[in-house]
Amino acid sequence: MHSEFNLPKIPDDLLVDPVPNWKELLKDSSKWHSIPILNYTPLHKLKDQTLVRFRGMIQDMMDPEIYLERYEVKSSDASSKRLQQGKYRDCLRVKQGEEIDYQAEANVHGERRTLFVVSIPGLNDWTKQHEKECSPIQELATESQNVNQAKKRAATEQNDQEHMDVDETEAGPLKKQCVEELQTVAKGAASTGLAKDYLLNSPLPSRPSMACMVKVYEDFDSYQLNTLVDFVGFLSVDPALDASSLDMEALNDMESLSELQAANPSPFLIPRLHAFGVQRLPHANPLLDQSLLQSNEEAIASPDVIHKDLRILLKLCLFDDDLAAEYMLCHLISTVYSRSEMQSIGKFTLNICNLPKECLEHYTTKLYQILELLLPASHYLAMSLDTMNTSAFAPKKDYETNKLVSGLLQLAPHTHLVLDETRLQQGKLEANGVQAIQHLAHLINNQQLKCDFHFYHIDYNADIPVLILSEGRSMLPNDFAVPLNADSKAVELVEESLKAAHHYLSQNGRLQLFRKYLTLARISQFTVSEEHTEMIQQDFVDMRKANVKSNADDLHGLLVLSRLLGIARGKDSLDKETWQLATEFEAKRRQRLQSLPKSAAQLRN
Amino acid sequence: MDVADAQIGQLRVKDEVGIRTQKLFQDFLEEFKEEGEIKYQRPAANLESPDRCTLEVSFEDVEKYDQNLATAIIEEYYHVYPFLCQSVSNYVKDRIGLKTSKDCYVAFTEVPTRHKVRDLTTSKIGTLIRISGQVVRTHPVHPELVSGTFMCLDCQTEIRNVEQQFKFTNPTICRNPVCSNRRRFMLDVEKSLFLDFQKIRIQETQAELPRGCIPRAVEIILRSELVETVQAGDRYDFTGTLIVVPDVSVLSTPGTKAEMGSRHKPGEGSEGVTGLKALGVRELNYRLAFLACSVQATTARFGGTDLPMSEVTAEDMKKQMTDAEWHKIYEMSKDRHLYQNLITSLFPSVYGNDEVKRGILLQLFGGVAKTTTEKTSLRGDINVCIVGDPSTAKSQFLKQVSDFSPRAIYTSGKASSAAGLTAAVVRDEESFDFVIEAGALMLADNGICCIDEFDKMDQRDQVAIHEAMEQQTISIARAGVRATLNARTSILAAANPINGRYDRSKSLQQNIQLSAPIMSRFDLFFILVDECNEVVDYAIARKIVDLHSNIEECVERAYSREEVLRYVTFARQFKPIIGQEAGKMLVENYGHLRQRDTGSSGRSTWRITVRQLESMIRLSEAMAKLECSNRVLEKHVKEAFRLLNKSIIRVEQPDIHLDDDDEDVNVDEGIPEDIDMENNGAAANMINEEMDTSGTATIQKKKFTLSFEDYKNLSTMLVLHMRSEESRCEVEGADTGMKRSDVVTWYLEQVADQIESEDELISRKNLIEKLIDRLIYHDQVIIPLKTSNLKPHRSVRPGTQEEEDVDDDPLLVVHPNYIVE
Repeated sequence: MHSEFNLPKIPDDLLVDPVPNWKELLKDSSKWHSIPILNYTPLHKLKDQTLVRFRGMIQDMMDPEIYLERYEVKSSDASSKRLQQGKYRDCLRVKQGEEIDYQAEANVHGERRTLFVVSIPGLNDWTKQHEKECSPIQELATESQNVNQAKKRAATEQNDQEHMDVDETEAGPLKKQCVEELQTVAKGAASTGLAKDYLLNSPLPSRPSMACMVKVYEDFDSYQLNTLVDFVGFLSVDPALDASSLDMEALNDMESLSELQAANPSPFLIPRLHAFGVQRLPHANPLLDQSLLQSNEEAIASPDVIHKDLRILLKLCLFDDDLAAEYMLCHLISTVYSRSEMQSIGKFTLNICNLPKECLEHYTTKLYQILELLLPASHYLAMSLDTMNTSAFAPKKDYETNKLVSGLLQLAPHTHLVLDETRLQQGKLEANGVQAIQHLAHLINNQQLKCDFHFYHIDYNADIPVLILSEGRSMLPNDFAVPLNADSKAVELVEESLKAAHHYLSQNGRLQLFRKYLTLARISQFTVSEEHTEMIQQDFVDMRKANVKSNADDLHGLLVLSRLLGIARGKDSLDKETWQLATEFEAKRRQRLQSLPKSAAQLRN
Repeated sequence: MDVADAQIGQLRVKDEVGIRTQKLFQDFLEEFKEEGEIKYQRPAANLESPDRCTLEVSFEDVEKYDQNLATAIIEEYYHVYPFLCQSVSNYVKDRIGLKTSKDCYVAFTEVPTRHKVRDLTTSKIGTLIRISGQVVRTHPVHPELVSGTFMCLDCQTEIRNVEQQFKFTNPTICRNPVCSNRRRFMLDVEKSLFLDFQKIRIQETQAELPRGCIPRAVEIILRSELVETVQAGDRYDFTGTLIVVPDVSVLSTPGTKAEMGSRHKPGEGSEGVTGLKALGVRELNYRLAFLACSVQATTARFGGTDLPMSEVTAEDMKKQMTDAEWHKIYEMSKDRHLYQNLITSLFPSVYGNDEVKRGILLQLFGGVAKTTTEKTSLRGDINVCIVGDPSTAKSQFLKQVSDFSPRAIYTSGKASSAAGLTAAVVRDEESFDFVIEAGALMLADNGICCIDEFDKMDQRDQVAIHEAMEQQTISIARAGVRATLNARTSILAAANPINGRYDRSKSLQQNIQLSAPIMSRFDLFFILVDECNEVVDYAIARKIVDLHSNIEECVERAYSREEVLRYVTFARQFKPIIGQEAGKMLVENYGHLRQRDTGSSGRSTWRITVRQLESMIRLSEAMAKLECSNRVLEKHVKEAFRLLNKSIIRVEQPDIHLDDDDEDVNVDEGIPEDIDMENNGAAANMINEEMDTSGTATIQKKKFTLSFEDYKNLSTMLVLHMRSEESRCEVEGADTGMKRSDVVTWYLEQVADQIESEDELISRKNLIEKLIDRLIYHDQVIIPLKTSNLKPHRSVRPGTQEEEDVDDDPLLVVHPNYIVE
């Protein structure tokens, strides 16, 4: 099946002499097409040691592992010996009547790292669907497959499906705690080990992701937390890898048991993958990924046209408010494009406030449904008191199991987070809730995720555009607050307009165009010429003269806005027109903000 | 299977290297002398007590004694370790004449190179190294079976000394040749040897971590006397060797394997693709672990701030550096513009605000902590507070310091955790005991605690911070827990003025919501006022646009961050002593401050107390450290005084030292920062107070010190008079101005009724002369017209006497742009 592409079939293919240059081969993205994607292939359809790929986000990194790269096997009567390769495998290969000579001179120890990779959290349904279609269908390998084993695998498959399906009913705050389990373990009772959810470690418990432990053999330090990667390697699902099958009583090492179990979960729950090829993904959009089959390549319409169409759509969804639609569009294509001295430049946290009271109940979710269709990955978070007080937001290191327990802010770059403040009720925000707000504020202000390592905190760079929907001004910090100027007629017709929006999207393949357009805009470059720099400087000085209270942050805002407005219109450098547009929009927005009734808290500022 | 087993194999064969090392090491123990005494005799004698069995040996001594031996130990540590222990046992036995042999162990300390957790690779397995890290997890102590005695259950034969390595190992076969038992043995606990054993885990510290990575951890095995010597959260150095321990399945006993095997009975389709699911399915994973032989608390971690009183000298630091690093530091210490270069390298993205930068830089260096004979400790840490309008880069400063400094905590005064800033007593969820939860100040012990929104601090913390800022301790007496904890930290605080903007018409205290006791605990107070200034605005705009256009490093910095950090760490080790002249100057300057304070009661922001003298001392010491000087010199005091003055100048205008002017100018030359500008700014902007009547000028005789207010009043008076004279002259078309002597005379006439003696007249005259000099050369309010162009007829006049006269008595004109308030 793979022979036409010369891809390795078993690990040993990688180790023949001379070593073939797989990296070169994998540069050709069409080679990736034939490899089954582990994310979408049930495990029972894959044999141990087959070539697979796994797409996901690096959630955790484990300590180095030493393994026998080459080892000598001798028969028990010491009559013959042979060398075996251990790379890209978990298990030693010993035939009956043979044993491993651990003292052999020829043995070579190697080092490898294990990365805990979860499928991209918050991946939207259309993205999954598309990726699934791209994965070659794996016919059941029947030959040389024992009936017994097949049965067993079928049983595990069920298990498997459970966590692969996005089961919204399972929603609700899952407390990621394993104290209870740990205690039973400590008592020495025949334990079932750690909870499945705990092992899988999904950042978004309501949308469980699939996990895979990827073992890498080179460039250890090039992997960064929370980045997107696509690994190619050999699947390893040997049942011997499961630590929970160990005889507890025979283990004299009780206190590290939970750690062992966390590091060696059942391979049917969390398969292992020995990677030899890796592709770092700049975005999660499968429509623009060469390694995923493109069904029908259509020429992309001019960005101007798409831009106009998209604005019409957003206007339709935002009560006919043109300004809000512009800001929303900018938000959808925003990205942190530069970091310097603690500043993250390019972040565009948008607060759409002043939502009309009449249609609060369903509007926010319906608006999100539209956004969900446009974005490859996003997450809607209703900021209810219960969610704030009970969910885990930032990742926290659990030293009992040596795992970084994920939180719902551990998202891949460009995963849009939509916070619905209209769901907030009166009540007491407990310690966890206060911390959650702080984490959110930290993320919004610095685009950094603060991970709790108990003895200290570490900030990891993030790039999560945050959209806050609120009735009044948001209580969270934000870069741009746009009060909606809802047209009273549009308010009445909101149900219809949203339906119309769905219809509009389905026409002329607009949906696909929009999806591609948004991702392309996000990753495109933009420059500011020297001449325009002068102009901006002069404008800033004038601005300061006119209003003493205007400050550097305003300039930052203007620059980001003008950049995004420019990019949205398909430009690659700043021009006067765009700059003026940006200043004009900002002025309008400020005016709206001022006419907003002020609460006591804002008056103080 | 690993090194451990290899070890056993080699033991059986006579090991030449081992035996030679054993002999050499025993010679070392017997012969090595320090100060005429055999160094290890006494420690060895101590091992007589039954609960002691470890001899601590300084590795430096071994190196001094025999380089070859030292190299052998370093490189083959794991291999020769049993032999070294044997020689210790022999030595101890010889020394104290033990009747029964006792197993003794060796523990090395002061191994030269130190590694980070991330550096541990397979290449280091088996060698003697030292690593440092933070303990994150401790396991309970267990007895570990070292060598077991077994009883064969078939024939009752006793099998002794079965070595146990990391796992329970049955004898392979019964010794009795007729018995072929391989499985059924019983451990004889009485006759087996056990050792205390504890596993702990250490983790990389925050500072060592590459961006975007998860901290690496490694397991450490502590044995015998080392158990229970570490606590989670602390940092330690561990000396020992890296070993490889098999992971999971191999650890399990044969029983488990049998069970696992039963799931894959031989031949059950195992020959498929993998072809290995036969009897011996085993994983090939191993883990790195560290077998420690000695533990020390980490002090003076390189790149970090050390304990203030630790005995680390510059020499020690030098040893830890590479040649290139040392060279760079040397180069930097010789840099003539070091002061300026350091601040530009430290805060390249903040425009202007040089004084604040200087203050923070000195804070990084810190003063010298001292303990008086009565055991009162005087803090050496410098506390700085920045008050200012929104968007004046206050938080930028704080963020950058916390980012840059290795042990800095950034927090907000509004911090909401139960521990807040100081510490809290909380009930532990698991054990239900009361435990102390550390707050930011404790966490930043020996570092810098950056507190944003200081004024919005919790009331409870405000009280506690009094103690933390001066005594540098935090006392807790709550819920049955009473403790005094160290908080030796410098505080860098930022506060907002009460109404969002700094109101210049009010004093500092009226502008911020801080109590006087807290304010007095800050060494330096900086006020940042957001002023509209085209030049500054241009520069800021430029900077921001560059940031957005992704132009890397638009400011060329003299040194990289790492270089600055290394330099600061190095220079911090100096403990400068105050020289005699410097001491005198400190006293004198303190006198100035104090006098100014008493002379104008009710007006000052806070009373000048000994605290300010201490601040001045600390700042001078920090200046001396900056220059890597072992003595505090006059120039250091001068800069410290200037900074101290500057830090409060905007609020409480300092006295004008008319006679110090010349020296002031010198200082200014050294530091390209114009005092004139500042004073002008202050003069032009800050005084809204009502003009008092002119006559009340208090004059410090000989010193010619004027309070700023008086100086201001006096100069205003002069200027107004001169202006009116000028306009009068213009109207009359007569002489176009006043000569210097005219001005002096006019002034003396004005105050004539207050002058009672001739002495007073002279001093008044001197005063006014000095004042005019200052106005001319320093503040440049009055312009002396020395050129004769305006008065051609004067230059025609011959005679040197006349010429001199002209120079001495020039025509004075008020600067046309000077605005009198």
